Amino acid sequence: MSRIESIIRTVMRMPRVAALPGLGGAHTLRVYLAPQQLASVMLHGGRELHGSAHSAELDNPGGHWQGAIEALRALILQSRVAAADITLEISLASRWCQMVLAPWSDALLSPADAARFLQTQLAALYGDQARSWQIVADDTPYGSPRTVCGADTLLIEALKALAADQGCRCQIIEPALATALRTLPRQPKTRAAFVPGAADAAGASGAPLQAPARAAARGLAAHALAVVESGRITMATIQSGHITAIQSQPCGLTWQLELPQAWQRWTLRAPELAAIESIAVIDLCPPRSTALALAPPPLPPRFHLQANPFGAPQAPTKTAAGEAA
Amino acid sequence: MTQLNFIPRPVPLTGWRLALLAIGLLALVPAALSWIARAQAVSHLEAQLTQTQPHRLTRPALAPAQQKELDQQVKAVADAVRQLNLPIARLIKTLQAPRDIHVALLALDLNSQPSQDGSDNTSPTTPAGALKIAAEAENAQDMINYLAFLNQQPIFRSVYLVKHETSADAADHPYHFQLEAQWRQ
Repeated sequence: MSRIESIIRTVMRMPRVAALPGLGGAHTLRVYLAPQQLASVMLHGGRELHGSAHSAELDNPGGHWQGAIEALRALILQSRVAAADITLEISLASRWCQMVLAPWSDALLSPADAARFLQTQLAALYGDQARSWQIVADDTPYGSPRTVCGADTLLIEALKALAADQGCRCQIIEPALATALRTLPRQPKTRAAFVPGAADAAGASGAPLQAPARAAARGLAAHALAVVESGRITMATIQSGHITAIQSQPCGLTWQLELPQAWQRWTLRAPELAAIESIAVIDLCPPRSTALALAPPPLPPRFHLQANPFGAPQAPTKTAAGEAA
Repeated sequence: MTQLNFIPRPVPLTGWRLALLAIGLLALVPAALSWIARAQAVSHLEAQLTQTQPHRLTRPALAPAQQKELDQQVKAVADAVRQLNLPIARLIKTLQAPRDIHVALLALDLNSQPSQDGSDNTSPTTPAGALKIAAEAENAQDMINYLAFLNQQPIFRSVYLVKHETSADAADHPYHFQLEAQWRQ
């Protein structure tokens, strides 16, 4: 039995994606695609349908996206909602879409020059393979750095082709960090206390960290977001809804211990981050088996665990997890 | 809000964009009402103008044979009018050579059409035409003097020698020559 067949069988064992009885019309299937995980939740009218959140671990040691796409195809096929009524919102794991914060340049004023400039920024960090990526960038105001995300063009095209084959409407393909930011509860518009020396410290710490310093110096509230995926933590600072700094690093199963340390190390490199008092944490890791899971250590008070945008699936049983693996 | 969507989406028409559109449309309402009122006034005036204008008499179309006959009649009348308008007396008086130029007029052809080249810048209403003159001179000098004399006359726009020859039959070998003169009034 091939890997792909194994993945499809794993997905087929998931409970069927439900729809509320008597509720017709458009449904939104929000999907998180990761090398070893497929999480999904069905939304109707912007609200999560009860019991529609599911998560499956995929037997995909190589981590190629082809297996995840076949799992998504199987998920759509076994859905109780007609494919034509499904709008797809696909979130990609950080393994498949790389992000960088590009400094402001006048090249961003022209669309053609901006594409070349942003591609160069990605290539400088991720090598020449980034020149074949499909890129997308945040539309920040003049003078502000831009968040750039690059993903394999074949992956994006395969996802579009899958949606077209199944008759779905694919509305969003974005990195998981953007999904987390989009679904995050709105922060109250408060004015943070002025941080003395924040701008100076930012100036000494490097380009990617200058924006939160400027925000703090202006007295505007900034907050942070940490997205925890299997094996990786991605932290970002947010100012007026825009990402102003990104930090990503690998992590193990005990991310609750590693996240405060990672934030502390980032704060040491950029002291202005100490002014941020609240860090929203979103855990996208697959639920552990109840038989194997240990009680996770508590997070420090400044870290607030937020709801998973892909719902809260039931933890798989040991047998199911074993078969999936 | 940071949006990193690999599927381009149109800008949603919500929030301040919708409000701005509504304000723009509201600002255009008075202009639209004014334009409608002016358009109605213009159409009303045009209708009044149409009613006050006299109706044009429509002439029934003639059969092809009748039309051809009518054209021929018009052409004949135009020719007759042109003949009647020829300043014959003035032309003949002008053609008379002075006493010191020994030239005898032999023939005049008044039916020549005026030249159609680009140099003819006379208006259609101005009488004009060509005149062929046959004459006889005692010698070449008289012929040339007569040609120069005609060129000096204001009624002639141009006079040129068409041909000349000496008569071998006559005893004093006179010059026979033809001139063509473009005249206009």
